[in-house]
Amino acid sequence: MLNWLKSIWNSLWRVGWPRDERASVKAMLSSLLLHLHPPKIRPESLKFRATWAAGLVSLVLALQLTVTGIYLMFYYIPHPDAAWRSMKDLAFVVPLGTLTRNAHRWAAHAMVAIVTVHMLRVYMASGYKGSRQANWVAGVALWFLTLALSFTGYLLPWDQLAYWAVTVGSNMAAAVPLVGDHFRQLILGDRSVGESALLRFYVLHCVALPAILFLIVGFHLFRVRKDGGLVVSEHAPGGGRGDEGHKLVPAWPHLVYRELIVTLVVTATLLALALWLQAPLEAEADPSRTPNPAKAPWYFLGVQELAHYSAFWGGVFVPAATLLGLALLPYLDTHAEGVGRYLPKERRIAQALFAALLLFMAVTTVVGTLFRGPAWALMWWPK
Amino acid sequence: MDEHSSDRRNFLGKLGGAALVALSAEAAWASLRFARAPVSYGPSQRRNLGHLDRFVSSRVYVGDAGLFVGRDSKGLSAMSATCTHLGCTVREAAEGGFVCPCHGSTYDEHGHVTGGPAPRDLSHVRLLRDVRGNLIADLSQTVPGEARLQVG
Repeated sequence: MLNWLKSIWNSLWRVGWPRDERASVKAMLSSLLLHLHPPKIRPESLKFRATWAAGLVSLVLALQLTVTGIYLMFYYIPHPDAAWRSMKDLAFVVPLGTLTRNAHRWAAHAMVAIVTVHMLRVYMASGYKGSRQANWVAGVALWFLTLALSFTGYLLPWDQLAYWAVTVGSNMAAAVPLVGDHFRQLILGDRSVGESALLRFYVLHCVALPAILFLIVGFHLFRVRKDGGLVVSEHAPGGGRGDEGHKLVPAWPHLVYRELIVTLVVTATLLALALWLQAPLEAEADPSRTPNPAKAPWYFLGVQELAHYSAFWGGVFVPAATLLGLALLPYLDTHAEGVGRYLPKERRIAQALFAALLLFMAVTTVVGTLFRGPAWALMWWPK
Repeated sequence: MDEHSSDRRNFLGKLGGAALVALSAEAAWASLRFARAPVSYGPSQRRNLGHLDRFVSSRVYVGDAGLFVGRDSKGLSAMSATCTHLGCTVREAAEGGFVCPCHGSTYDEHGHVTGGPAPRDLSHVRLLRDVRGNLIADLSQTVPGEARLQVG
């Protein structure tokens, strides 16, 4: 009997718990999840400074969002008559409903921030050059999908915040010349934010966008493996071409254990945040009354700040140009210098340009978040 | 393989490629067309604002239609409360006129832009009267600001 159970267990894993280097390589190659990793890895790549763990944290957050999102879907009803009330049910009736919603909300906010940090780090290390050009574009697509998931998810609670943030956002789309109004009606399925928009956003948020996201994540990880892991400076030992003569360490346990620790830390932090901070829920959406001020979530407040000057230039042109610029970056900057180092002398100008872009985004976001009061008037003391 | 058979393969390959491109274009068009179906369960564009007796003061706000109904010596007019910048609902400003809470666009009492990012004046919509004496607004038809519905 015991042997029979053991045979079932072994049929799942095929390779036992690895006890030496040879067995660990075998384990890495024979398991679906583990074979996403290289069997052996450069010790430098394991250091925190090599990655800031940003890609892994983004992936862990995406998985947390999937799990908490599925839980929320059991109670959430995507209809204007019921959506807000189902949020109240989650808050007051469903056991751990508040915790689940809080975790989903804070993981979403964190993912926007961490994916941006990931992009910053890869930029600094020139991780978009050579064979990695297309993978950078995939990364930009993932960044955009993260924002699109946030935007579609933002409408679902159907409170005042949600309704007006999406009204403002979809009217920015209408500022696109010629096709703008068609584009807006394509997103909303109607003339204004209502039943059709809520259903469309729900389907995009829960099915279409996550499916596309995880497909691209698969491509993204595959390409990282095929490109030989992290970019390596030509000055590093064994750097440049190949790993000849350089000591590699087995990914099991060195990489896998570190990943587990990061996963645990992210999960514990998220749980602490979800216990500590409550996700806001304002009054039910009221199309006849706009709250004052009406603000989007913080990561869109930079765009809202720009849109306050001009709906087209601030709300459409600058975001679209930024996205296009980021996507084309690896095909415009093809110099091979300074790869694999964070602040190389050879890339002063490129680094300064990117820093300027980030600073611009940060300043507009901070101004929009903290220094804009009722009727979007400047106020010097943040409330 | 002789010369002709390789030509034929080449041709068929190109034909297949062209068919794939055509299929993709058709699928993209079909998807867009599907998503833009003329079905809407939103409220009707023609709104009953209530009996005419309701509109005796110089300005009444009808929230669910998003309209300010004004009355002067010439008759009734209906001005949209939807800001022309990004679609928030404007409110009456303390100092007269209207202000948008989203990005601070300001309008005078006739809906002309006086400040902020709004690109156009507030629009006016057509007013009608039904047989029971109710005021009807047709949100799909804009009219000049001077247009009035004459009332007794």
